[in-house]
Amino acid sequence: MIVGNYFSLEPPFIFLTLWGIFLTCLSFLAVPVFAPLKKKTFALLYLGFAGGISLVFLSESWLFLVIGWEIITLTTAFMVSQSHRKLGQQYFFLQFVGECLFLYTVILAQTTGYQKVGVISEVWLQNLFIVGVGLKSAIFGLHFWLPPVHSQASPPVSAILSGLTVKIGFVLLWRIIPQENAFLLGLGLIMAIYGGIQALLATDYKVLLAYSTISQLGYIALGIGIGSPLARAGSILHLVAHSLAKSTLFIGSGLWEKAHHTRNIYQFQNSWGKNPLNALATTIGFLSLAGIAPFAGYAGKHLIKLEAEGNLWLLILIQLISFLSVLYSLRFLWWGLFKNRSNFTLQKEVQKSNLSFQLLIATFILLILGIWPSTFSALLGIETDGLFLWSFQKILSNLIPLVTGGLLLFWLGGLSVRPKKAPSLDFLFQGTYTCCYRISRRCFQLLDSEKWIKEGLGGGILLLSQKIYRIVFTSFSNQLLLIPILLFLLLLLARIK
Amino acid sequence: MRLSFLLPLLIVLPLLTAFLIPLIDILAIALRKILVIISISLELVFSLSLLFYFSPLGKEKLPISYYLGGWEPPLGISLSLNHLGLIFSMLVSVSLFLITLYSLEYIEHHEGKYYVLLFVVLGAMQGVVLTNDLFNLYVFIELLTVASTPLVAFDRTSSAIEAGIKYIVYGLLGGLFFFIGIVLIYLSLGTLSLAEIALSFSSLPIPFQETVLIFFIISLTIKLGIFPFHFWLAKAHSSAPAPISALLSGVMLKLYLCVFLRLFWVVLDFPLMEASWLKSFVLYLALGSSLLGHLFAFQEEDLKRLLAFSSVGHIGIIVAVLLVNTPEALYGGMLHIINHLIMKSALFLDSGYFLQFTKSHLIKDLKGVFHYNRYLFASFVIVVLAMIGIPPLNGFFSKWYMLLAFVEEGIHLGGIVVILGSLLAIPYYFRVISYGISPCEEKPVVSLSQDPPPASLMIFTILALVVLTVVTGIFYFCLNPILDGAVQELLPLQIYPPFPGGS
Amino acid sequence: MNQLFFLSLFLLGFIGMLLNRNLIKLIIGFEIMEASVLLWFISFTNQGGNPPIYLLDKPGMVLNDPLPQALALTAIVIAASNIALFLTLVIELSRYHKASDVDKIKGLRD
Repeated sequence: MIVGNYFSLEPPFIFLTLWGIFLTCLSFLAVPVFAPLKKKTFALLYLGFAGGISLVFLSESWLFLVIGWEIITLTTAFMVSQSHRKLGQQYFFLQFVGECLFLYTVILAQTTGYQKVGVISEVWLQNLFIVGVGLKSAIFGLHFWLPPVHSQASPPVSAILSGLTVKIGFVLLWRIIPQENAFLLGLGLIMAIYGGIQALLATDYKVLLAYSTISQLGYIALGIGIGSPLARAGSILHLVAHSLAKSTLFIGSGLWEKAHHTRNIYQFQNSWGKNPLNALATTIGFLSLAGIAPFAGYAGKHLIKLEAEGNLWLLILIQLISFLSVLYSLRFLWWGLFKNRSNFTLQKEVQKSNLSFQLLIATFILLILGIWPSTFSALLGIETDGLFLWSFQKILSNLIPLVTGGLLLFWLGGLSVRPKKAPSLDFLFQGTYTCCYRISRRCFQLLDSEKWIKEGLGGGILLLSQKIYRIVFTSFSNQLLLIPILLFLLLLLARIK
Repeated sequence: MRLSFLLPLLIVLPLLTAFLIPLIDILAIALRKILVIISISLELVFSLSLLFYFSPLGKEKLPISYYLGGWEPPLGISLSLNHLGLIFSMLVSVSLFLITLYSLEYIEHHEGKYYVLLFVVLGAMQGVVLTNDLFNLYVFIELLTVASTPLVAFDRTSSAIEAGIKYIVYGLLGGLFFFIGIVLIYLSLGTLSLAEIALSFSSLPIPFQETVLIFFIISLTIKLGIFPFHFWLAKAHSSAPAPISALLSGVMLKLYLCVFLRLFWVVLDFPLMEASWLKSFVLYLALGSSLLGHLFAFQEEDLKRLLAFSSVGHIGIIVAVLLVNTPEALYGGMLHIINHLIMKSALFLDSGYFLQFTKSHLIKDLKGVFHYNRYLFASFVIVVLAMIGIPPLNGFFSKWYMLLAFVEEGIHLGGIVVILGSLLAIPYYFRVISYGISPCEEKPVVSLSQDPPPASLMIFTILALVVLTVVTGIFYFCLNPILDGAVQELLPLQIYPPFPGGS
Repeated sequence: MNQLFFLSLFLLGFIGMLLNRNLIKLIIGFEIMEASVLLWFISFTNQGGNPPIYLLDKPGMVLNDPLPQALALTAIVIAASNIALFLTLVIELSRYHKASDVDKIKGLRD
């Protein structure tokens, strides 16, 4: 039977597939608002995307996995290029480079003896897979394409790019890495810290969201890297929660851009008045990203924290990362939603966008995911009895970062109250943040491989190929001369042997 | 055995048509097109009926032979068909059918001469595939060279004639080395039948065997355009008219690959070649050639030269993967032969349609030309995606099997070249596409005629090739029975078609 | 001795083909190469018998192997048609370039 041979119908994969299709539909609902003229094209592309997603999650043969992933790349590239053609081409090229890396890794795995997608025990092969998946899933060092692409694509596209496409690699890593992997753990830590700091420094809302994606992906990588069953369960739970939260936020970002005519978070005015539903969804989305207790992101982060309790340094780092995500979430909520709500009046024309249904569903499910996480973990095939019980201590541990973060931010916000007219990065992040800012700038400049690739590599190859061409193509008689040279060389070699 | 009379018919029918065309021209020129269409359709029907009867699904079993004039093997010359021959015979018939349909609307002057030459080429191709005699093989290869040179120089422009001269000089040298190889074999073995050579070649002293191998290798690398001898290829393929470019780049190179496979695997002693340094030498030469081909295409300004250099790259990788000589490698190589034939013919025919509307073949003159026909533009994009190796189009599957073959045997350089080839292909094809769709205010300069010529047949041909690209991609496993048969014939040291009745 | 003669003839043609920049001289060099190969082939298979145009009716009559001669004839025909084609192309080319120097015709380079 073909299904039995090539596809695995186990609970987590079926659930992930259904989840992916659900998210795709949810994002597609936003298409008529943002690209009303290209509905049919997008419908086709989303259909292809859903097919690719199911192929990737369900397939047990490497060939189908690669095919599904490549279909996803192709459809998303076409989606991106519907609004930004050049960006679409760049995205496609980078993804194809990633595809090549991944293909080579897969071939290596297959020749090593792994005929099916499953647990891989060799560590070197695991690490190769991390690199091979890296470019497509924006693992640190190969993440440079993510912020520009995710922030410039149109909102429904960003929603599935950030919500589903980059997650595929992590689902794969989750499938193939059974135990701890120090490399992935380290990468996850770096990713989470780097993404968090960059998100903290961002002023463009979609750039902020893109960096927050990197930081949350770091969290997922961390969970897989720790490798104990609960941490793995936590990372897959976080993956599910984050995908919904992030796609909701990205679609909301499109609405905000329409409402405020800007993406600069300091210029958001009267958000609650302009679109209260979206404001609610955004708030819950960010709280969920921050891992605050009754919202979706909490469950996964909680499990990962539980597992890290044995190792003090790891625990401290993880707490720091959580604190960072709390901090940037609160920062956006403060600036974007709560700061300038002086004239609270409902404005009719923005409200008419048809997305209320979609936003409501998303918010609802985010809440359910947060309140009854064990239901979802059961769907994923994970035993989590008694881990999500409410206790005073637990609520306290969730409230502490929230309160301290709020206080810290309030204190800093109090510092930066003065220039209300034109809030700038430099002024806002004086004092405590200056140091962080400088370091991250330095890191960013050093690791800015995007420019390096765009200018250096393309031009270099062109120059090289032209030079070789000029060397090889000399006059006609020289070209003919190569025949006897090779002939006599070969005959001579045959004689010598 | 009932159908073995089809084998000589496959060769004779096109040659007969070629001789009938001038006669028909005397009667009435209008009849010529009908004759051409009838003849090429008959050829296709013959090939398809062979496929129908002899495919693993059919009733009869391959291989079959036909003795010309009823002379039995030691004296007479025989034609034979095995799975390898069946594949290539099919490919030749189908692609020539499409190319002829395309030419009916593309060629505007000297049509009579054009079809004579085209049918001679077709007959010679079928001869190369079917013949069972080394000297006949040589004659058919020379016939190919002689008939295709005027086709290369068909436009009679300066560059076309230069290309023709270059093509024929390299063709002559390749033929001469082939002849020397034949002479050496005849002098030592006293026979020219491929089957008998296969039986007794390994009994010769090893240095002598190596010398023969070297001559054949030189000859075939010249014919295939592997690196130090690739100079003629780009020039000839880019100066010819579009259908001829498709013929040269899509079909004829594959035909020499067929000769390559038959000579080195079946007739001459492949274990010897595998044991000696010659195999790895040719393998790495072909890999280097592949990389260089893609690099040259990367810097090329002329669209048709770009496509030709990409052919250099693909032929190099096919030769390399065939030389790896594992079942996966042979399977992947032959799959890529089929796929590259389809894709490259489609690209050349497609660019031929669009280049009618531009001043020159330079990429920067292509500006906005894709707006002439949206369907053909979409087909161009699809074929380019297949070329790069995007599933579920056909290029991906051959890329997959080639990679698998290289990595399994530990030849990581080969895998890297496959990857780099498809990576380098993206920017150069995307440059063409982005020039082609860039909006332009004024209509592009039409050089040939102000009204675009009627092109329904041309469009049909290209779309048929694109459909083939998609179908052979999704249903690539349907080719498995025949390809497996061919791989089985190549892999163990088998006797060429066995002689019923003994020799 | 014979072998050496044919080899030197072959090399002569080869060198002539490569060193001459004139297209016509180039093809003459090629012809010499081809002729040397054919001569070698024919003379090598000559066993000192009669030409193979008689019937084997007399006892003790030795005929040479007829196959090489047939092959050589075919090869000569092929070469002749090739040369004719080549010369046609050179004549056509002279419409565009007055010189027939290989290196001065830039189109022959790339």
